[in-house]
Amino acid sequence: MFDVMQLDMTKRNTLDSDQEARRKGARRTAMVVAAVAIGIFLFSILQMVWLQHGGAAH
Amino acid sequence: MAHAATHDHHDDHHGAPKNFFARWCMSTNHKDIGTLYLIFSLVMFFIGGSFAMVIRAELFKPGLQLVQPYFFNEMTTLHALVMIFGAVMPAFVGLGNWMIPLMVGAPDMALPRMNNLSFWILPFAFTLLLSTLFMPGGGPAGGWTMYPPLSLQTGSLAYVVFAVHLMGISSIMGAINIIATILNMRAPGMDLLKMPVFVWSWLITAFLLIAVMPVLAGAVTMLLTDKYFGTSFFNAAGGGDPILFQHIFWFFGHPEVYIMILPAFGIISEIIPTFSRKPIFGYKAMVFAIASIAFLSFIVWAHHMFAVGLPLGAEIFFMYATMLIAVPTGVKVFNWVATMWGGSMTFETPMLFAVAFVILFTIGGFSGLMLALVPADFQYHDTYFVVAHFHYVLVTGAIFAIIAATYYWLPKWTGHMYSEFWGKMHFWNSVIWVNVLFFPQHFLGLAGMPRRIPDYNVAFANFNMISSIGGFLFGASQLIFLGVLIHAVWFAKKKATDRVWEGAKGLEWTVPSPAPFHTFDVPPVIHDDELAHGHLED
Repeated sequence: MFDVMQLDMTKRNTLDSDQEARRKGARRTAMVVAAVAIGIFLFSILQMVWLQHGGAAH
Repeated sequence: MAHAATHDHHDDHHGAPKNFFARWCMSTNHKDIGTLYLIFSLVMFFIGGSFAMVIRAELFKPGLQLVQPYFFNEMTTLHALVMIFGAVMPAFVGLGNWMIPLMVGAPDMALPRMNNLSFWILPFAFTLLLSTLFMPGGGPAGGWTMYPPLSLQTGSLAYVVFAVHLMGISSIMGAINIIATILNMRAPGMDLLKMPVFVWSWLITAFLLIAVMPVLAGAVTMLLTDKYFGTSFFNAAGGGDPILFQHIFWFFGHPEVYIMILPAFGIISEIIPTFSRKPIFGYKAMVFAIASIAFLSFIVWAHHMFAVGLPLGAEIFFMYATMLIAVPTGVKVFNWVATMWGGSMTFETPMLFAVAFVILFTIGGFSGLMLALVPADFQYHDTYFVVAHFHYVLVTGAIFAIIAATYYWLPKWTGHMYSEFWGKMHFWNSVIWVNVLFFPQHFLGLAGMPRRIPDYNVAFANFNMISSIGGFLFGASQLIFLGVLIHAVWFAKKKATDRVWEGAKGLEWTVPSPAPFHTFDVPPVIHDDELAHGHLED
């Protein structure tokens, strides 16, 4: 009985650490995607400033 | 050993919070947040629909009978903003929130607290947007596209821009969550090419959202600075150009319309196989078609600007690129039909809406192909032909897909079967009256009726009256839907089985109906036979 409970706990610990690893990966993905979104926002304004100052004519 | 087998039932014991505020305002549960999005979207659908009723009431007869022209313009502007950002997009996000974790075997979305924030931004944003109707100077009335210099004359522009920013932030955070969930939280064995097409469609849509919502944010920020901070991005006198706004807006705007249709494609690709009792025809082709449509959507934006005086070379490029999108879209239509071919078909309400989608969205696509032709578009541009086109693809396209999805998954959400009789009543009324509403608008456009006008030449009177009658009856039909939903949630007696539909395949059908508050706390063991696309022969 004790051995079965130990096995259960080991399986639970493996599952928890797997879920934790996935959550860490998910947070990393989220940071990268958020950085891309902010970059696009800034770029969309900056390229309009560049165009307004005759950028395309160069 | 017995503990592991009953692990999921053990998790039910710490189910939904009992406290109403904790459960609904502080939720981190993808099912509850999905429900919140769907209820919000339904409310906004009726609000946006009521604006359309005002429009159709005024256009019922020639002459200005019911409303002032400025108010009419506010109605057309807010009808579009509410429907696009308040009804269609949140509905798809709600469906995604409910179903994506279930379909990939994840316990929840990757970032549950951000999920909650994404939702709760929206009621605030729309309260702000709709409150502009009551402000001195009125609400936005220059069209949802907000072209300057007209939009810069809106007194409440700052509030409108703030509201649009909030909606954009909500969508961007939602998209981040979906990408992170699909890429990181799939159960072991749920390979990318085993995922349901709906999940693929949302993964690709999420990338589109990330790419273009920030561009809209940039565009409206520049409107704000032009009005209040002395910049001249779109003011020719200051060295800017109003056409630049159109470019940057439509660079967002065209992918936006694909954001509103790609999840619909995913939904139809789930429903048709179930009721045909056959796997989707050409699974990989369907996925690649969605990806192709998404890619092509970035290089066609100027087809909204054919009449502004673009160089001939640009017009030709955008014309050919726009025509090219019809190819992967056609692949999808053919594959839906091929899925049904030789299938053992039944026509429950979700399938009725799905079949109607295939036919009527294709009609919308045909008018889109006509609009793609530059010399033809010189006649159609800014007429009711355009209005007919986009309402076919959005109403009989996106909205019908959302309704189909609701009927399809409602038994899983509530544990009850909806009334099939009233579902069919809703369907037949919707499909008949939506065509009475929008088909005549093709002819109005071809005859030369412009868009966005509260009064029109008496030559357009007959078809406007027909269209308005269709509009009132289509609107009334949606009350049947409301009744079906209320009955299914609170009063229905007939219980739904776990699988609900005989031909349904996928992980979401392996959990009980209604789905427990927590699901897949222990990742499921993936059996390829249980998946719709477990085998990669197709």
